Amino acid sequence: MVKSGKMVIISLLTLGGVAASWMLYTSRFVDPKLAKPIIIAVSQTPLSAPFLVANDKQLFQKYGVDVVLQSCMGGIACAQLLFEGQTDLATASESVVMFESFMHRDIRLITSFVESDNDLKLLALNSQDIHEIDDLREKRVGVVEGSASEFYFDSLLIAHNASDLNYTKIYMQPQDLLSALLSFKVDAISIWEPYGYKAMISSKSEINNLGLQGIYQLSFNLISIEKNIVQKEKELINLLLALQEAILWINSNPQESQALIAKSLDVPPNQLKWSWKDYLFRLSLGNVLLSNLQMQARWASEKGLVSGLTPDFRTVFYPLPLEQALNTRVQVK
Amino acid sequence: MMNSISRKLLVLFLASMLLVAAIATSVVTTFREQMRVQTELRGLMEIELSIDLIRSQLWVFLQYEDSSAFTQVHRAQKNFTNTLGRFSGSQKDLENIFRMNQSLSGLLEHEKNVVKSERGKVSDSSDLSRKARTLLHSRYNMLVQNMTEEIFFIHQNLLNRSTNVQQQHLFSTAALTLFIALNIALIAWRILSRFKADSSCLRIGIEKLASGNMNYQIKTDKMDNEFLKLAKFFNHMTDSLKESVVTREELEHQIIVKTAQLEAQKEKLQFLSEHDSLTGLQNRFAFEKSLSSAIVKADRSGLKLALLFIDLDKFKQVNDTKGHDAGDQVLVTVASRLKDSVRGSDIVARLGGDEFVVCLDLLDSFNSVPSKVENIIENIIKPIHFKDQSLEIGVSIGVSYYPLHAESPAALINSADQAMYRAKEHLGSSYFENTPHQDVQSS
Repeated sequence: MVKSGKMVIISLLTLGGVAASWMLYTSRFVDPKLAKPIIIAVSQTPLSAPFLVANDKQLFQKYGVDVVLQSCMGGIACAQLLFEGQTDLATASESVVMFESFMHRDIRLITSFVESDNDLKLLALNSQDIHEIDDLREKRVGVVEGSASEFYFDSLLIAHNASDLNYTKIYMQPQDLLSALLSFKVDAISIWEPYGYKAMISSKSEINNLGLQGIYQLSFNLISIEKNIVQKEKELINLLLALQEAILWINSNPQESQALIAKSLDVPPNQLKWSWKDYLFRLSLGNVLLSNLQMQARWASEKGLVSGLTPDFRTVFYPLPLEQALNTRVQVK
Repeated sequence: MMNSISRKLLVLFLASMLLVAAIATSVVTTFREQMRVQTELRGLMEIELSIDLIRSQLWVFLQYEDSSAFTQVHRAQKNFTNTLGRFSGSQKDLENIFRMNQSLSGLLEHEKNVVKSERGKVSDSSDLSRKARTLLHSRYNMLVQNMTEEIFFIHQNLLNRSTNVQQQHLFSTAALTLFIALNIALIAWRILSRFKADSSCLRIGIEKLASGNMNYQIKTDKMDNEFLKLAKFFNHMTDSLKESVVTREELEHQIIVKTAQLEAQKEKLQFLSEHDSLTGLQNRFAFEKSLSSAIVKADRSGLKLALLFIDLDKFKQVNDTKGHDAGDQVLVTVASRLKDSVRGSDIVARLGGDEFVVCLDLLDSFNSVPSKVENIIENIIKPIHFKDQSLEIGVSIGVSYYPLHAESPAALINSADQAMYRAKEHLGSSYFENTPHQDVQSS
């Protein structure tokens, strides 16, 4: 009987050892010494899905980073919180990064986490008989000044070789554009989601998209300022690992992701579904973004929207944490 | 639950088979996973090559910006679409690549249209068209770059997923294999320990039986069935043996009893054959034997012996007048008195009728004999009481000496007999010794 007891103890020890090494293995990222929380200003848009999922799935805790998400409406407002020192990090589109880099030379781009080449649309009512760019001759086009909206419209004109087109550009606030279109105050609007979806469901007339898919690529990025991130590489790496796992989860669970985001942002599921396929969630910090920033900076300079020397965007990039994170294998459960 | 070695061996066999199955499944799964990853990687490589072709054509196009180079870019893009077409539906990871290709295709188509419409326009618009081209070409580059990044991302994801799957697979297989192996070890150990314990029980039982212990019973609780049968059979066998052995003991005991009885009977018979049944004295046969050995003893020791031949007088008269009972009483009393008159080592016997003999042995000399004989006569002739009567008898004793008168027992008896007749001649109780006096002595 004694022998049999010994055997049982040996078996239990073996199993315990296996379990312990497994736990040690899975928890190798966790850093028990939590610094003060990293506050991130997160724009309340589906583009911020990786943050919302990571938060919901407690992935920040899993990777040992103490993160507090602070809501803000749109990239500009979020960047504002960052520069005011209210948050350590912020989410913003590359347009915001481009504009802000003229004013804040210490702005740093840590990663891009989503992109879409179909987020901006140039919408017109079918009833107005506007089907292509040339039809905008002597028409009024509503745009948001100095934003992706205007950049997109200008890009479309260039691509259609129609920069000399005779039209009237009317600057408006983004939330006013749709009603202006529907009340015939303008003939076309250059606008981002979810206004495209809202236009589709609220217009009696058919809506034409005069845009050209692929001519513009919107990206949403994690940004900071230099002083906030020096000597915080480890936290940033862990934060990026959490985002990477969130993205993997989003890609393998699109339905659940949409449900989670719809609930989190309190938006109708259909609205989310409308643009979900356009989103390409991926952590990246490459030449595409660099070219995009340079292209937009050139456009902004030409338009006189910015003053001063165009910054060297290579210095805006802060790629070390991402490089480290991408070299680490992430396990999705 | 498993009180049988064969059952335990069966379980051991099944567990081993399970282990084999687990290992085989693991090998097959790993192989399949590797094949799957290889197929996907090959697909990705094909796509990467197509993207590379677009990139190189795009490079040529940006260098020369002529229609032939544009056609090559267009062709490369179409080729890419075809390549992607082969993978449509099979890999959902490629959705973004499809989408980027769609954008690229749309933009290329757009440039084609712009170039077409440009041909009819005046030359001052060429500046505008150059701007459009620049924008479009930047976008081509960005899209191709994006595709490369996306492929890298897919590639990395695939490898990560595969590594994760294989690692999980490895862990689960290792855990399962360990678990089964541990169970196999436990069962094997249990079989071994029980086999050792059970066989040792049996061995001890057999050893005890071999050493003659029939009361030993093998304890059968907790025994495996195979050994249990043997042990029960063994216990049954010892029981049977014990029963048969007890019977033999009894038999031996009876033999001992019977032998003792026979011995007693034999002794009795021997006593009867050597003794007179009435007086309990030795008979003639026994007396002759005793006398012979007394003579041998006397020869050896150099001592002497005297033989007294005693014949009762008036015995016949008593017998006839008083009856046989009175005669018997006389004989018994005389025998008793004779015995009382001599030493324990002296021999007293009844030769028959009213004739007795006494052998006085171990004598240094014959000097004491006459007084002894007289003492005997004196004792014998005392009245004998029988049924309120007093019987009177007399006695005649003939005495012969060894080695003086004879050298053999028969001769010695004969000599004494003759001496007795000499004494008879004398009236009244008397004795006669052949020598040294040769005179009849009366008392």
